[in-house]
Amino acid sequence: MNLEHKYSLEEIIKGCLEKKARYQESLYKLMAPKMLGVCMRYAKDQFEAEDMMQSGFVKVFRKIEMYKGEGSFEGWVRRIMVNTSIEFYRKNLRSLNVVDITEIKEQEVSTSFDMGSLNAKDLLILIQGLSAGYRMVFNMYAIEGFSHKEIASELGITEGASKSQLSRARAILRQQVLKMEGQVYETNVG
Amino acid sequence: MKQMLDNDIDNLFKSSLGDVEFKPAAESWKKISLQLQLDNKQEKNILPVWLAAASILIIITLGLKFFTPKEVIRLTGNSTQGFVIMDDIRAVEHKTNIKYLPVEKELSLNEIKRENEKRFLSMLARKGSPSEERKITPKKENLSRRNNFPASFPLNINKDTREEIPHLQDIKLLTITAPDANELVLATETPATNIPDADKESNPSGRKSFINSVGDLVNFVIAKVDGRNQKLFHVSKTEESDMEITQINLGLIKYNKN
Repeated sequence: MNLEHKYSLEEIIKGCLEKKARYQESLYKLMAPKMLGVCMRYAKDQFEAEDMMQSGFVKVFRKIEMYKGEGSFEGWVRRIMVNTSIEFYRKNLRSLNVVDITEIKEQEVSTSFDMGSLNAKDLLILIQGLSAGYRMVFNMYAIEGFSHKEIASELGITEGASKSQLSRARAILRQQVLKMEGQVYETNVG
Repeated sequence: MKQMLDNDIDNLFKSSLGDVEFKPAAESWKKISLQLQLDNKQEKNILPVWLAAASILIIITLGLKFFTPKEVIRLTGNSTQGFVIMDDIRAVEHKTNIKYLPVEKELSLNEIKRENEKRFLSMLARKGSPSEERKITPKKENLSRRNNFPASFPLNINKDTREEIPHLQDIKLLTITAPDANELVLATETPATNIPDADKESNPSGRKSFINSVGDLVNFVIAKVDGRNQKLFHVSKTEESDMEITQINLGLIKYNKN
């Protein structure tokens, strides 16, 4: 029998505005798995993702009065997580291999594959294997829906650099997916 | 089986990882909670400091408002000041034998002023030159309440008065000045036409000259620069203009409006 009282999202937000610990914990429990999923895509491993998520939740609780009810609350929290991940990236920025857009040749797309055979965990491993710059640009563009202009502004790079990194990230991921798909295919046949 | 386009790669990752969930580590909430508690402690520590600062500020403000000794600066006279002024002026009267104030009745400041104007003008009419300048140095103890003396007030001579008193036809402005030092100077100003030479020639002892307008200032500067009797040019106040060139001396070419 579950004796834990469940609050509505409105009650949780109100309790968090009053800085009541039990409501804050409820919000954490409600949203932590999803937000950790966001952070996992931006981090190089789970430890870094946990750090990002914790830092992001602290910001959520500190700035919750800034949420004015416009848009979904989950979207607002998610955006804070993305911003926190960007901050982490900028803090840890050491060297970024910027590839000029002119050096990228349009690659022939002639390979075929079955997209249904890879699970989320495999794809997450592929993303985490990218260099930090490629990972950030690919996540922001392909998954979050940022424009190149916004990415350039957030990461402090040029739009050209954003495009080139996206192109390079796609090329790497395509190659990795095909490689992984081939291994899966051989395993199934063998 | 189909070709793998850029959009396919994007969609593959978006659909698989866009809403992916992972179970966070057990200690994650403890770390967040600890951080929030630290924040609350900092807020609680800051609050008394702000309260103390605000209290001190309020006390200082109230103290300044209610306990500062009031220093009254009187710029205009009243009946009390009238007596003080009368005392001071009587001291001057005693010293100089010039009667400025009536003794029969108590006068307001305006009445005193008008009376002084009248008496002073009649004195000038009696005694002669309007450019006469008197320097009266009363004893310091007689002006013990000097701070209550109005700084200075102009003595305007209207047109009728000028016509009544022949000597005053040329008087423009009369000023009674009560300086902060030990001197009380009564001065008259002659028409501007006499000023340049008067500054240098009839005033060789370095006595004070009064510059009451821009024209006077220009004349003063020209007088300092040009050593000739007839200056390069001279500015006067006429009926047409406050600042008109009435005299020009270019050597061969000379002009004198008067």
